Amino acid sequence: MNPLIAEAAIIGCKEGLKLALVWYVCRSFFDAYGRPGLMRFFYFGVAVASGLFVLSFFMPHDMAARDTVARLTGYVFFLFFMAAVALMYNRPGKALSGVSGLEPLAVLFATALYFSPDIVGASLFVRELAVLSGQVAGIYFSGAFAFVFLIAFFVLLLAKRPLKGVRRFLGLAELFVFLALLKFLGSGTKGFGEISLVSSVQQGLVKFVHDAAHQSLLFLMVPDHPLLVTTTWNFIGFFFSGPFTAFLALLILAGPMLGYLYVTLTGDIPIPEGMDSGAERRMYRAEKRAFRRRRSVMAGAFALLVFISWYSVGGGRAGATLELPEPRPIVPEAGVVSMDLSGPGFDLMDGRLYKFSVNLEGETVVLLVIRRPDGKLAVTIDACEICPPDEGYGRSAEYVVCVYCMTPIPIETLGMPGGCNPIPLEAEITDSSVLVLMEEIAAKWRFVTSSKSKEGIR
Amino acid sequence: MTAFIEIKDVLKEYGTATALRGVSFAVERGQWCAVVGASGSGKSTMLNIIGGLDSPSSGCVSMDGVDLCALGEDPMARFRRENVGYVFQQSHLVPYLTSVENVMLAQYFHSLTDEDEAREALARVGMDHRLGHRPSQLSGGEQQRVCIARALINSPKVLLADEPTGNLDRENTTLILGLLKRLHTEEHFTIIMVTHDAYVAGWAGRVVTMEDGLIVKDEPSDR
Repeated sequence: MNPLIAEAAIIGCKEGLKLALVWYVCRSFFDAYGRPGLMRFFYFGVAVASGLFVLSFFMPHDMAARDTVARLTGYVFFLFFMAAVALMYNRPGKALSGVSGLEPLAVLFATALYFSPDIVGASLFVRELAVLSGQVAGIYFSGAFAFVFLIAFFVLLLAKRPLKGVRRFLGLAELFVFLALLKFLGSGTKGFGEISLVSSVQQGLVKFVHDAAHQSLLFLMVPDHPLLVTTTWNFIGFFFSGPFTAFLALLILAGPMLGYLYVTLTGDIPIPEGMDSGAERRMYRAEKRAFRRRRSVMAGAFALLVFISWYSVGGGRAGATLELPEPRPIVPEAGVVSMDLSGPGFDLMDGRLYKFSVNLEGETVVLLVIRRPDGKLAVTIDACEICPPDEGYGRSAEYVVCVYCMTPIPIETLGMPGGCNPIPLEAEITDSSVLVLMEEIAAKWRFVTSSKSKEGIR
Repeated sequence: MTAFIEIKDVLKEYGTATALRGVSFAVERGQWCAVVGASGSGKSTMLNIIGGLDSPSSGCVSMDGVDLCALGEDPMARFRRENVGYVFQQSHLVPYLTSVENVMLAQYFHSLTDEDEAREALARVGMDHRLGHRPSQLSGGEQQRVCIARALINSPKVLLADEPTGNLDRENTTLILGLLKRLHTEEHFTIIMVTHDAYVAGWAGRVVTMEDGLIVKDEPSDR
């Protein structure tokens, strides 16, 4: 079997399973709380999300689109997560306590919101598979759809009756935790426990905060204060480094769940008036405690999964050693710098970090070349607009890291200008080499040298 | 109005042997009833069926409006835990636990443990000075008093006692019966007590006599 079709089938399985599971749990939940009619609005929500699937055909399937969908998935996850946390801390143990006219709308909106990014993301992914294989997209969509329906059919076959004991384990808050948990488990395309949907959101926020803080500090200390040497910046950079942000993600995601577990499992159980006998009071407390334990299962599972996911992405370990390649000197010819795509012992397309140095009017300018996850080559100056250019970038896992301030830059964002990203260069990529005009290098180098904040250093 | 405890046409067979031959019997709330009879007359079998420890071959049993024969295994266990207290001839105390721990064990299987409450229960039966003693360090009468505290700790609706004084001398027998009397008069416990001893039966308000699986006499006590 064509491995790409198999991949489409796996996506189909995953989405089918997710749809069927959410359907089954929601149906059981609404049944258990005497609101089976709300399922109609669930179906409407699924229909709305399916409509977006059609719209996704008109979306470009480039990196920006995928990034947008990944971020949306992350935001939707976060929205469900935050809703769960808000419900957990404000309405413990309650669910659908009042009949509200807004409930149908809320179900419709939440369902559409829940499934839309997945459906659109899966569609983009399947289209990409088709592009990669050079075959008709319909084959891949057929494969994916077949498995969506196959899995959904089998789950529905096994789940003719609603789940028993739903009320014991799920209140509204726990339902939201379950939905967030499932999204956490099944989102993205890499499968189980992919935490990247969190970091895609988190990295955006962290980078924004970092850039703002970094630029402000340098602005306030014009020119760059001697105190702001690499060591100091590295210390500050620690707070924006991979391990730290992983800890932050852990705190944000697992913290509220652990807090809830603590409060729920250790909190006092007030005894209602009128319970005279000790046995009656003990029984009441035992039942309440058992109820609280059952209602904590979902939060515990969520916290556990976050821990596993965090550990599996290396959150518990020290930051990886930076890969710092020596620049290869090159001499421009006729105003053009030419870097061979491959040669003895190197291949620019192998995903490793490569550096080249070129002499520009007596100054050494270092260029950085790396293949991005989308297969395109990023060609940049080994410096950003903010930090001193002396140390450039190293590579650590899926990041390049500014050695001066230790800011991690996701490799897929290389080639984008601004902030702490290395300054991108216009380059022509031929069959055998990467060509960059010296004029281009000189123009972009001016961004590095003209930065007011660097006057003190240069 | 139905009685607090009611058994109707209860037949109990063990293979070819018949222990109860269509017994009907009712006990009102707050009553202290003694069941007497010779060995093998079916009195303990009837007590076990009333307490849900055994089930009848036919007929039905109800307590406080609950049809015990309709309960499944788990609901029956829950019903027993919450409604019935047992005292047996043998104390069945856990030998390596202290008095208070033995009482707390009953709390544990009911709901949660509460040591203060267990201590109070032992104080009610005059055992507050023997809280930390193990069964082997207690006399027969003291062991039975711990058993009564254990039986009452979960506030049962009925206390079923099967030869509670069978192993005791007269002095301790009187002590235990005095205790049951106090529970009956002050706290209005419903007590069904099986005994073969006329002296013991005389403490109850009503005496039911069984013979060969049938009730042959049912009369108020002359005490």
